[in-house]
Amino acid sequence: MTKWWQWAVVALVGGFVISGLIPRSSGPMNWEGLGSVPVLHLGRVKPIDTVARATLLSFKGSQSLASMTPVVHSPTEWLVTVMLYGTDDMPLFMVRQSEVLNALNQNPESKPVLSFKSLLPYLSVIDTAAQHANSKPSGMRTQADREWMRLRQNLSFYTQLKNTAQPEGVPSFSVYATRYQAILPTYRPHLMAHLSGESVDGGMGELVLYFKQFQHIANASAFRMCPPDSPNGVWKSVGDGYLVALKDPTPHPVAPLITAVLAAVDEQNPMAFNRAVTQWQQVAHRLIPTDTLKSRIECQLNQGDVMMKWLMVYGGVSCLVLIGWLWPTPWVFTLATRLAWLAWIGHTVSIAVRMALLGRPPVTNLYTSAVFVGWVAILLALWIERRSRMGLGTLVAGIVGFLTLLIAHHLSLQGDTMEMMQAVLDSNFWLATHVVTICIGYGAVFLAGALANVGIVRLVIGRMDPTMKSSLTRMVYGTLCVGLLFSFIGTVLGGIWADQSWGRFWGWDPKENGAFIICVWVAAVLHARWGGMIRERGLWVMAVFGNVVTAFSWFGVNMLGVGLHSYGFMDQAFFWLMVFNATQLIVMWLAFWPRLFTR
Amino acid sequence: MALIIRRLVAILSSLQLTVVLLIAMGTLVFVMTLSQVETGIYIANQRYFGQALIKWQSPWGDIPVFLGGGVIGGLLVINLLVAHITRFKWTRTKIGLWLTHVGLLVLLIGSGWSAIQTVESQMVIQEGQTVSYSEHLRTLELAIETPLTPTQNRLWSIPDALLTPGQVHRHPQLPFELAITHWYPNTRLEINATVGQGLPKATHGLGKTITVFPMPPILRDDFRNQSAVLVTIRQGRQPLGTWLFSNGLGAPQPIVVNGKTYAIALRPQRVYHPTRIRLDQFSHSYYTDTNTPKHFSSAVTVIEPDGHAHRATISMNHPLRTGGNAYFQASFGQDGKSTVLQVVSNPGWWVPYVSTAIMTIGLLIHFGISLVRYRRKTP
Repeated sequence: MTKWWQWAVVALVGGFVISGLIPRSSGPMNWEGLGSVPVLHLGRVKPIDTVARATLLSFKGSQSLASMTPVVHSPTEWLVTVMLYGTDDMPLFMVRQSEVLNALNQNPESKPVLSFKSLLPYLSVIDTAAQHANSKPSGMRTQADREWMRLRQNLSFYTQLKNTAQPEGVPSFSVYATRYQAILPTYRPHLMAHLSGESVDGGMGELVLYFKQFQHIANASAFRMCPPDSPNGVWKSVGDGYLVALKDPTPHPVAPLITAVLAAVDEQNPMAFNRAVTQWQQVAHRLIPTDTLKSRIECQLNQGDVMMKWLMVYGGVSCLVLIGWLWPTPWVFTLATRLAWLAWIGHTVSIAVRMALLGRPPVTNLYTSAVFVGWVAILLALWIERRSRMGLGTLVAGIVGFLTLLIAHHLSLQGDTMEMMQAVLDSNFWLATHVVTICIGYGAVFLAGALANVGIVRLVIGRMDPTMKSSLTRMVYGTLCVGLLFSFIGTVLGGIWADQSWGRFWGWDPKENGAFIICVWVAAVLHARWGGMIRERGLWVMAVFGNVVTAFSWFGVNMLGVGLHSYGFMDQAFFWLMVFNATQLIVMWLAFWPRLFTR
Repeated sequence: MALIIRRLVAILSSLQLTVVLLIAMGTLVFVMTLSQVETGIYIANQRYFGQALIKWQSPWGDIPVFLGGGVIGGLLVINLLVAHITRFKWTRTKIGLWLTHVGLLVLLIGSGWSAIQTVESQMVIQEGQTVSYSEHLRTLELAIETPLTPTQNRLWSIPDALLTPGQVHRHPQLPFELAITHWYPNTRLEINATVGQGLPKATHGLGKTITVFPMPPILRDDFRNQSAVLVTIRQGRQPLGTWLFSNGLGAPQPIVVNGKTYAIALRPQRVYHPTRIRLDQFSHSYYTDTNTPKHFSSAVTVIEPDGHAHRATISMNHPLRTGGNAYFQASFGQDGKSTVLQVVSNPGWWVPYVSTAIMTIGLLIHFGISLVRYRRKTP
């Protein structure tokens, strides 16, 4: 009787999440279609939508388009607006460093988002400061240095964007482009003669004018939109797409379509817009079918924002179990567990789709590590729940899922999460073995810590029957064993990788130290347990501290002020890491509440 | 006495000591990681692992505050050995633990040995060039070279550790002796400086116009200090003059004694290899429109001591192993026409492989047994 409605709830939640993936049109113009078209940006083929989102994130630290004038409804629409008219008045550039803000005559307290226009008078100041910062060795740069460099890079990318599809300040570019194609046949004999060295007396003036415009946007282009049109071809910018027509009979098929799309936006002509988008999609599909399909999927994932929804489901699962503990009703636990499994399956599918899109193992950067560590911990927690059926495993699965996906969400705000791999990391074999194993280790140690956290808090605020308590202790112990095993094997595999690529097994670099500390800590906990030095409380407390150790190894070492990812976000992240550590220390202290472990 | 020994053995074999040492080791590595931000990995490693005691430089002198990494590791080895000899029970269920500990012993002892044996250096080769030596990153040498035959030079080398003021270096086959007058680990060299009149100066060679401004050495992994040494060269009791040598000066300076030319330079310490390497071609690629390297590799020809030559390719994650050395693609020159190879000679390279394999098997067996028990206990 209870069964069918539970399954109905599960199906309903699943349907709600999946419905986000169904393309929805938001008006007469097919912006979604345009967003899914593949382009080449920073070495990776990705949909325009991803370029737009990553650019917004990099400029203003969020994808939000609210309170922007002119009003735009999607990142893609914003990007096209920039390429067409520029958005010099729009507040786009977030500056965080007070030193930088003072130099720009801005009040650091107001946390301003500045427009290109307001930054114009300071371009040379920014340029000088960024060059100065750039000349320093990377380890010596201050936060202000990094902020200057970031600002300069963003401003230069913005300027490039305005000159990607057409030259800045030429709204009627499509007229020129059409004229160029029309006059080409007439001029081609002249041109051929000129190229073969004959002197040509005049007559090419008009062509030279267009040539210069295309040359300009070919040089300034921010990303490449014309896919390779032959087996050994390369991606071309719009400018180059037009310039090939000097030799080939026609321009690259995509170049005029891009011009048509922009012209249709300028004229507010949805019919022409949709026709050009469809044609562009067809050409892309003909030239690079696989990449086009992948781009479409990636675009759907961007818009569906599934991970955020699974995060909510995990949060809901935790609440359900807590309700079940307050008002004991058996169906609450089964429903919560079923929902947790649903979210975990969705989580799995997301990871799998990502792996298929990139052709990579699950973990390639910090963002994916958060998603994967959560996935491992949840799987282990749900397995524990299957064996013990007390709601503990489900609760922990919900909490861990919620927290790791929350971390992942914030990490994803740093930019494109599918960036290309550095040459040294470009090894699917080692990514699949070392990185995955070490993440399983992190996941298990975190799970042990989470179980102990839940145990301690529950003991403080309520009661726990002895079977549950001893069963929880066994879970913590077993999970720590799994954690040690995988952390150790992962660390060893990392050593072997290092030995294969640098000739040294171990070099005491911060990331290696982090892994080492985890292994040593868990080994210490287990030995203390075997030696009878700690009992239930000791094991729980030490498992909680394992969270602090693992958090340091996972994130702390990335915050040591070295490397590319240590600006802005990491300052904030450091604060949250400290908050996390503080909560863990408080929980450890709570465990020493009198008579907690004797009754 | 027997009581004391028994007590000592009890302490040394105790699990309490194990736990204390493990936590101490973790703490030490944590503090070392933090200090790497300031000093770089190499110096931090020396400070925390190279000494028996870690000292705090207080206003009242150096106060030892913690055990060095080597000592903690050594104590762990002793703890493990004594525990296994005195109180370990040989039962079937303990075989996993036993294997893990044997592996750990091999690892601890072996890595200590291999740390002493390993020699790391770098080899920079231009396209078309054949190179027979590699250079140390951190140590310098004062090298004195003179032609022996048209194709071969004779070389004397004084490591920088011996370039301390007051030291006099002589060799039966050298017609002169070198008296070190000044040594600066890091300097700023200035030509025709208007300040710094009182600073010691060379009387001969390039250094005549150069003033040496001593600087505090910078302790960073990616920074090479510009060291300088002032040397008075004497023939018998007769001083020939004082020269300045620095790794910042580039080409060696010629000194003529008894009609023979000796080229002297302060340069990164070299390791000569019987196997020579020629760079045929260096190739690299970036991801389109980025500065992220996608791939880089060196096509080389390996010339064995017997003159036998064969081709090889060295790339990221694909080193070349030959003549007891391993050559790794480390970096490349700005122009894209030269390669930087990391040359590692490590006779103990197998230690971590063997030991960690044993440990992994041990852990798998032990936790496998635990897992089976856990599944039996919970219905």
